[in-house]
Amino acid sequence: MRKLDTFIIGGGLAGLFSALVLKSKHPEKKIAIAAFGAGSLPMSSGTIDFLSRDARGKFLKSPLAGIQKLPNHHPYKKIGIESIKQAVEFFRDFSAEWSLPYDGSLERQTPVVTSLGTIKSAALTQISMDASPLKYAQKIIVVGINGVKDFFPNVLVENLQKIFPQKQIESVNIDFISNPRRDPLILDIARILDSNEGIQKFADQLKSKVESKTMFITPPIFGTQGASSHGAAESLLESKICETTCLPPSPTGIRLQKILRDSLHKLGISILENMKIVSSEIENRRVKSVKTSSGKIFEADRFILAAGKFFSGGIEMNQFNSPREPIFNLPIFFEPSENQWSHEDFFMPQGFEKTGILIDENLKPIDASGKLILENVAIIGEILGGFDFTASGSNSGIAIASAFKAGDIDE
Amino acid sequence: MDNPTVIIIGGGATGLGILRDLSMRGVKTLLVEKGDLTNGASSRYHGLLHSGGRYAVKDQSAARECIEENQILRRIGKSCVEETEGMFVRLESDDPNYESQWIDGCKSSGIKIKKISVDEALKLEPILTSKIVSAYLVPDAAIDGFRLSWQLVDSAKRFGGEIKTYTRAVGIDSHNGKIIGVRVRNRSGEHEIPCDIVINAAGGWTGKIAEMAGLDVGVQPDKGTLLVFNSRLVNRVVNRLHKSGDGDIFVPHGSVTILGTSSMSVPTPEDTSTSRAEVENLMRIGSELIENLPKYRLLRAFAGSRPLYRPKGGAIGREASRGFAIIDHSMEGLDGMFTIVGGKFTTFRLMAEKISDQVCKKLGNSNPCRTASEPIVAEVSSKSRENVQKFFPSFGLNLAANRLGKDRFEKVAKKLESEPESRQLLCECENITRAEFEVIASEETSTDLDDIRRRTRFGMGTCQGTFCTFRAACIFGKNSAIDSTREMLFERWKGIRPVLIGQSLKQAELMRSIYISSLDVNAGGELF
Repeated sequence: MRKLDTFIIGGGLAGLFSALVLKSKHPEKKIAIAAFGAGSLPMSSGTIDFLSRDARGKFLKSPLAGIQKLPNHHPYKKIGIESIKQAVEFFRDFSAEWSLPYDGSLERQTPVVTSLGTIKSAALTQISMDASPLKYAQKIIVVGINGVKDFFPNVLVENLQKIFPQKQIESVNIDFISNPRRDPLILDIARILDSNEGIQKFADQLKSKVESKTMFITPPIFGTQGASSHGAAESLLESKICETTCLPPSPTGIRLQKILRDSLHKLGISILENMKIVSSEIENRRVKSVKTSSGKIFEADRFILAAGKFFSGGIEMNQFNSPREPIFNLPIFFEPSENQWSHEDFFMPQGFEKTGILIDENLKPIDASGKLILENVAIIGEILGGFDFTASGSNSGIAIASAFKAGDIDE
Repeated sequence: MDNPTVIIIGGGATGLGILRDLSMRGVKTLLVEKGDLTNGASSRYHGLLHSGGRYAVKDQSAARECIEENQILRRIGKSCVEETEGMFVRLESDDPNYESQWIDGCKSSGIKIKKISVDEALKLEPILTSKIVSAYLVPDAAIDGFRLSWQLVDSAKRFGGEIKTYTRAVGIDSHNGKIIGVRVRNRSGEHEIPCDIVINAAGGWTGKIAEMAGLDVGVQPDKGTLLVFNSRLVNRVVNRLHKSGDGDIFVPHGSVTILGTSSMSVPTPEDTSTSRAEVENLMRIGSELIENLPKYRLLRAFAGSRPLYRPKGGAIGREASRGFAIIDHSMEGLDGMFTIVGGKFTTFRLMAEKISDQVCKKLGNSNPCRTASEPIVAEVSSKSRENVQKFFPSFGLNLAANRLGKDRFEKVAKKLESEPESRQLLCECENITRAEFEVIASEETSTDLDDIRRRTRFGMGTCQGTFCTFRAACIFGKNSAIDSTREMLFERWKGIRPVLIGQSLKQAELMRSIYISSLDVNAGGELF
């Protein structure tokens, strides 16, 4: 393989999106992505959450207003508001072009129903997940599927009734699989609804329930491909339908992964599957090459590190107070004290989740004193350090924003 | 229920053993417990059915009790005991003199040991260090404390015994130096239950109960911390052949392995906290037996307090006796009050027998103890297993049969047959069907998910509740799904926090991503 312009490590949301942005803005560049495992998208709901809570856990109505109030060392501030706005635009255009349009904005959260019947907020959601129309519905019907695991309509009815005390909310169960050989998952139903027959079967069982201003809530069953089966189902029922989030594997996350991969394929970018990068060769603060677990070497002018945190193996820590970034051996920010490492409240910001790499304004890795460590590496996504993105509801937003910037500022 | 003759305070293995014993002898007995059963030392330990080998040098009478009870429990509690056998191994660095003392001690205590070659030991347990210099097989086994306890209840109930959980004893009443009743507090308020005899079997809380009656019983809570690993590292109980110390026993349980324990005097049995230092200490010592230990995923750390009996001026910690004591307080002027303290899980039946003998003597009841010969619960027949085989996941059938015992198994089987949806696996790690969960959840004593967890083992396997918490919370129905989810996550988190290192960090990241990002448990209706 001849020397690459950019080599991207990580096949999750950040890695794939950075490749897309880079190739779109700089079509002449030769790029490759090393992916190890399936990436974390099938584990996620596929919504793009920019910021839902402030440091004390208080809900934020506007992600943008929240971002503006963040401290200057937060990755969002390093990326810059302008780039974040452009990232949102770019993502929205891309998703529409690939028939999985996302709705929403940085200024206002969009509501999404979870499978627990709570209302999650996201800056951008697949249009099939946008729960805003619930406001105008008179009758809400939660649709369960007989025999399918991990969706409990009665729980949604109970919890939604607390949010909408005035509305009539009920549940109904429909059939898709009889005599399954194993417990059917929501994903199995989504695969059935990739076909027209599946959509028809769905609509036929619910047609009689439709009254004026009826809205349906379903698990995320409308296909694994794009938004078309959701649109078709809404047309057949002449009603609004919104999908919930669910336990993994999540069809909505899989849909996003699919359009990202399809678009990269079309642009001629190769995704090197199941390729674990284990080390690198560095000279004068520049990475010359990286090496795979099987000893293969890739040279490039620039590298983007999007390897994720602990879950994806971007950071390892086998002893307390000794986190390690295995590829470039970058300095890592972490909370050294036992009391700070975790919080007794599961939902509050956790010290261990703040573990990660610190960056400068160009996403290049720096150490605690601000000294630049590597000149031709950009750090993006979950591996960024200093903040608990999960507690603040910003994982996917950070991924999109940092990936956009890394693609945009190619040197 | 008519007024009981005897009230037992404390729902650990000892109290439950007494409940069964007295009930079988026809004594009307009620047990009260402030929380769920076995929330103290009876579940917060490594689940080892001692062969007695651990005490063979220091305390041979305890060792003898252990081996005798070990053999009895294998007979009467078949479905609670996994007959793993055990291995004692000495490392180069361990004192060779201790080995010869130990061999003599086992011999005189009646513990059958078998010397095996180092090669053979490593063939049986390949994960162990090659620094072993000698190895012996002993009749250790693994035992499930939660399961045994509930089976004791089932057994006692058949003979008229009763329990009240979440019922706290708040006062012990006497008249003219004679017990007249116990005052209890539960959800419905405070009231007195009259009785003739009170047995204080409150484990770590024994001293507090004694205080209520104006008595003084020396109990020193001695905290032990244990680590749980996500796979079966060893197939046998593996003990270090040296003077008993921290972190020198590995016990395999189902799909996990427990490493224990430490020993630290604490002021209160409520202290079940664990620290990074304790985790590191256990890991360091455990790594001497299994060198690759840090590579395996830790699931959680937990701690419990041994209720060590400490007569005035007695020793504490590892030097304290593991024997037990029965105190008849009539000598101190309170007739009808008994206390049982000390001992260990393995000998709970013997302890129950001894105190029941005394209580029966006082009551003029001459019925003999039958607890050593009658199985605790009837076994599930192979025919009823066959009947429902097709509804169970690959190896879930026998696990469920062992967990449930005959009566509940039949109930679960019926549900599986008539409600196809109940065949879903609620907990993949421990192979628990929705039917089993629902049957246990419907019982009156199941007040929250944690009660059901201890009975079914859901959430205790390798995912630590990452997937099954949501399912269980949605199915439970007695509390709101959101509250149940939150409570269960808090409980699981308590044990995960101290071991946030290595691979457990991955699981923690996933768990938080699901419950905070995807399910947003704490979200309100702000957007509408």
